[in-house]
Amino acid sequence: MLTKNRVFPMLACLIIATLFTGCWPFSKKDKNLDPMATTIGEDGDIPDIPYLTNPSEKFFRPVKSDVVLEAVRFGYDSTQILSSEMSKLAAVSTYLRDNAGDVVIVEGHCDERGSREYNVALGERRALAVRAFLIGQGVSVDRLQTRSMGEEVPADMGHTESAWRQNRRAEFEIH
Amino acid sequence: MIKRNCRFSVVVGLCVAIAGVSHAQIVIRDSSTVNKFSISLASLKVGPSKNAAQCRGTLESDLVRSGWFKVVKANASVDVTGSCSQNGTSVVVSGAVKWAVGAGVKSAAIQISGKDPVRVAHQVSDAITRAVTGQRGMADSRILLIGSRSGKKEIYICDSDGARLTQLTNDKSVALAPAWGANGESFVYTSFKNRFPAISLVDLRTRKIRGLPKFPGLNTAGDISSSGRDLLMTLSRDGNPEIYILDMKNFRSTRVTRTRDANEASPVWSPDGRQIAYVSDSRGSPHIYISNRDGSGRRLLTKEGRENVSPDWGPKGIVYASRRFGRYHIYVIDPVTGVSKQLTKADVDHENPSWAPDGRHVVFGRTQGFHTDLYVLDTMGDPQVRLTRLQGDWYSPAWSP
Repeated sequence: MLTKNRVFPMLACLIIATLFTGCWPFSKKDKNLDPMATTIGEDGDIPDIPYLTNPSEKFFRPVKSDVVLEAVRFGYDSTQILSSEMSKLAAVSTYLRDNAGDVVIVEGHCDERGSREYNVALGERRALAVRAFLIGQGVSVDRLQTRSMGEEVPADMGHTESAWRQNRRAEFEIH
Repeated sequence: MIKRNCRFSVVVGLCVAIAGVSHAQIVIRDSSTVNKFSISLASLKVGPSKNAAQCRGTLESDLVRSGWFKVVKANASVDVTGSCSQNGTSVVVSGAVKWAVGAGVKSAAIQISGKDPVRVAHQVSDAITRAVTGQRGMADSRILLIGSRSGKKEIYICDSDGARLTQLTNDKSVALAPAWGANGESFVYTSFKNRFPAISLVDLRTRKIRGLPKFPGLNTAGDISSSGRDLLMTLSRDGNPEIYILDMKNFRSTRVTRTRDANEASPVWSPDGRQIAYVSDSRGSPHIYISNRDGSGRRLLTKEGRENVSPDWGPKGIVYASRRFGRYHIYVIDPVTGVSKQLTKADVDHENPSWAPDGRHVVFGRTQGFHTDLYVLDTMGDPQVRLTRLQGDWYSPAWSP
């Protein structure tokens, strides 16, 4: 556990390091330190949250296709939730608060670059990052399921940078 | 896929070594700089039936595809004698293969029959390859693949030469990652047919599909050990995609990796089942790591290339796809020394390699103009051969054990 008088010097060090290097030191590039370590503030790092559970029968009800919640976008090969996407996530937690009987499947997707098997795991990590964020916003664990479609179901069938940007996403399927 | 005979050999030059040391002295130097045995089928009498003719024709193309032989009319170093004929509903190849060894001649009897003339030809080709080179052939083997021509992604199967392409699943969904069982009579794959990904086991004799235990979150099939007992998979049930082993007898699962800050995928067994190779992005981008089966002794194997994915571990090493200068190429790497060699050259993407049971050929997906077809490459230098020619994309090949 971090005590108060240890946190402040650490934060100060981080801020100084950020000023010097121009980037947050716990970015994805710095992952080669210790692959087994659980680091703080890292891309897609999942705080200690309840393990996944098998979906209840609610998740097999018909999809509420009239509810449109905007997909959250991601950077290339990244699971980090971008600040530009926060309002979309706020809309999801608001919807779930106002519709207490509904549940949501967070569906992760990737662009077509990279292997299909790696991408299906990457899409799951994106969905898990969104799940962790929503749990942090107070959404109950049993109302969330993750699913990754990898690169298999693109939103944009093109092969351009702009198509790839559309395809790196997490969608929200309401049941 | 796991192949037995775990012995690493230098990829190029093995042909010369085998031809020179253990078998015939006379080898032809082909235009492609590959040493080959000249072989003649002139002394194989072919009966009048259509099936016998089909068997003879398939045998000739099988021998060429094996990479070991060059078919000639006369003055061959290897002669196939005997007959290929119809007997009731069966085709029978009965005779011998004779080849020069030093000043003498060695021979081996051939007696193969069956209702399927193509299968008989494949078995005869593999028997000739085994007798003359001491090596296992690959004619009588099959390839699982994924096809998208229905608009959905289904598992298909074809012969080693791409013939007799047959659709196996009809999930009308997304299929992923087919992997063979050790006996070559079953396979596992991942399907989204029930909304969430689940691994199914398919018996190829009965065409029965059985669901394996379903875990919360991601379930992706990886590779079945050569003992047939242990299935490597990727699961996210503990909050992050990690590698697990499923015991196929008691369905108990054991966690292998513990990398909360990284993504793991594509696990495969070493041929002896003691180690695994898999993809991890714990350094930021995906690379191939090796560890013991309990996850201990983890080390980075691929130190070059922007990304390294899709490992398959065979007797000659690990083949994988490496992204360099914006293109994916197939490489083979010695898991002990870390020495690697590029196997593809064309300026297109080459992905998802899978070793043939002969430990010499590799099937992979070749993408050009956003369209993917399967090709076979020869690690000993023969030109690539295209396997799929139909509309749609054909990818994720898995060559049978």
